[in-house]
Amino acid sequence: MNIEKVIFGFFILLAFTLNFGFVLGQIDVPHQHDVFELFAAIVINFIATALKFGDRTQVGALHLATSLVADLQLVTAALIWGHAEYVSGTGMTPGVTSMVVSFAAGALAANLVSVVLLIGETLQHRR
Amino acid sequence: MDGIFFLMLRRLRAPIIMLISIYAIAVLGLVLIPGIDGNGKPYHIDFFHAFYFISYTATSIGFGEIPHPFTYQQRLWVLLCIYLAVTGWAYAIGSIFGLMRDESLRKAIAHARFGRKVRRISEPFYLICGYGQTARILCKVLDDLDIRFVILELREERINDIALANFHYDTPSFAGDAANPELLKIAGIEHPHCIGIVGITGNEEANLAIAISAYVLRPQILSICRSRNRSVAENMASFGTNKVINLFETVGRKFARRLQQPNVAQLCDVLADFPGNPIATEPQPPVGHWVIVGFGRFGAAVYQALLAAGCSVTVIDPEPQAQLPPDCFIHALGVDAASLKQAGIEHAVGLLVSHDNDANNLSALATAREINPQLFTVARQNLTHNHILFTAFKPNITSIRAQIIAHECLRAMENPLLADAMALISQQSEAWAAQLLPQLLELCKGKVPEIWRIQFNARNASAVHAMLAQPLPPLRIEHYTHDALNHGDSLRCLALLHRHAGTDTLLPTGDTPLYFGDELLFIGNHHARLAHTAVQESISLLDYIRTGQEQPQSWLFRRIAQYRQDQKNPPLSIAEQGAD
Repeated sequence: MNIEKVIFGFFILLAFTLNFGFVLGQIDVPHQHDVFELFAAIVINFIATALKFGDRTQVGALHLATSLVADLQLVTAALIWGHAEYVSGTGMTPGVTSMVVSFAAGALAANLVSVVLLIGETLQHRR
Repeated sequence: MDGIFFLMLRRLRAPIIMLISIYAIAVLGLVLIPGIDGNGKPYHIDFFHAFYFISYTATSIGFGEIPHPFTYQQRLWVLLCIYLAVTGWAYAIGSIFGLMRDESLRKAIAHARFGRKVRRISEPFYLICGYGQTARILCKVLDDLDIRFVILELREERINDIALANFHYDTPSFAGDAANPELLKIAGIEHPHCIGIVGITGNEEANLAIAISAYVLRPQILSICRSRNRSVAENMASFGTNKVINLFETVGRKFARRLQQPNVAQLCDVLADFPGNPIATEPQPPVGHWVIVGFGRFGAAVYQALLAAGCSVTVIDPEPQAQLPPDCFIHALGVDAASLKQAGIEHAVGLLVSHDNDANNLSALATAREINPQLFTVARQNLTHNHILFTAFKPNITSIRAQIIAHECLRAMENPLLADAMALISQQSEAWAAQLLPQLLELCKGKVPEIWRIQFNARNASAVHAMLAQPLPPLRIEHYTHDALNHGDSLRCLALLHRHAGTDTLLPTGDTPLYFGDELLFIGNHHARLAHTAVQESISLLDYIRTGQEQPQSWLFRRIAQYRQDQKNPPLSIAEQGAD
């Protein structure tokens, strides 16, 4: 067992699960989407991105790309949230909430690809 | 460059993850710890403001406590965060600077930059392996001739010398082993503009490896390699190396020629010399008794040449030489008067000092001169920087190893026709050479003329026009001596060799007609060379030199000229003219 692989897999899966946990719930109901979970998802996604640095293979490049997409989507979701709270002052209306959640859902898709890649890669090595 | 970026990212993974974690912990803590607002009511800082606060605190900018003054617990947490974050940043920045100083990264950057520079070269260039004394001389001349080159050299400090050499062009150079084919590839051996490779490293094995790589990777380009002994030279030649320079044989041949055919020797010297150098009239070595001090490969080569010219020779060497007759050999270093006298220096006509040590050479030279001031002296100079000492001693001939090789390289590089021409010239008689020499001296007013080649092939646009599209009037060699700007003025140039259908003619006459596929070798001044280059590219200039009349350039004026021509003599007459 390679400890590096454990850490790598751990962060990728955690990024996916946190993201999934945040997105879970009705899309326009603010109290079903926790701000701490979004924060955690962003941080773990960043760490996952950093872990993917420096892999020169084709799969590695795709890994990094999916992570960058997820980062972009999650940060956008956080910015929309912040904008609604402090700039426009509308607060978390159903419209804003669904926007934030849909961006996070986009990130979820990217994270899913990442997980699929991870599993695919592992299975390939098994053979 | 991609590789370097990824290498850096990989090395910076740990500090980046550490920074992310520190920020996450700090922000999370700040959000969780309750504060008290202006009205004394408890509140929680939100993520945005927590991140804002940590961002300016962690980078030690410190705008103060916002939005409200902190409570005791908050300050305790922030205190912890400050030290954590500063440590994190110090680690990250330290890693970045450490990476910058990292030898392997610097090497990787230099490698990538070198490869990119080579790939971007859009002119013909030579790949020179080894930047020793020979290469210094050679590169200087190539640079003066506006020929580009790429340098590979094993030693880093010599690469630094290239930066100080002030070449006109930005010369891509890299410190690496030229015997490595992978590196040769990056250095552009497969580059479409690479016209030749020169293997003049100090290492015999490396030179051989270069010859092999050149043969395997790009058999069609020119390859020039230096060898010190015959077996390696033969090995190189077996790999199709176009020019193998065996230094000591070259020297011996030169010396022999100078003894027997001084005029031919000088002619060859001038043609092999660097353009723009003053033509020196080298003295002819006398025939009689010679003393050779230092019997290495150089000494042996000259020894054979002297014997062939009918001289008697006594050799002085610190090593016993079994192959020499005992009465012609003195076992000594040769720097003291006793051994030199024993060798008969008092009645000798010439002295060759050819130790591989310059101090010994100079010492022997000084002692011998004292005994016999009339000696004709030939000195071998090993290191270029001892030049001042040798000039002060004024031997009649100074043989500088690096220069000889550089000349040989240049001769092979300049063009293959020249090498053939030289071979023909060395077979000519003394009288022939004596008659050509003054013309050569006249061309560039006592300086070494430039040498260039004109190929009448599909690449030569004006040749295609003059030989295929409009073959009348027929192009002759003498047309090329007309000035392309002012008809009637003649260029200072001389057609040295004409190659037609596989046969070479030295000094072709001016009325020799030229055909498609011919090649011409010219010697002359820079102006003539420029004129010929211009003529090759411009059809109108070629028509001008062969007819003396300015030809109409634009479509309209061409039409008018054609019309006038037809008015004067109807089209039929042209056909008749062609049939004649």
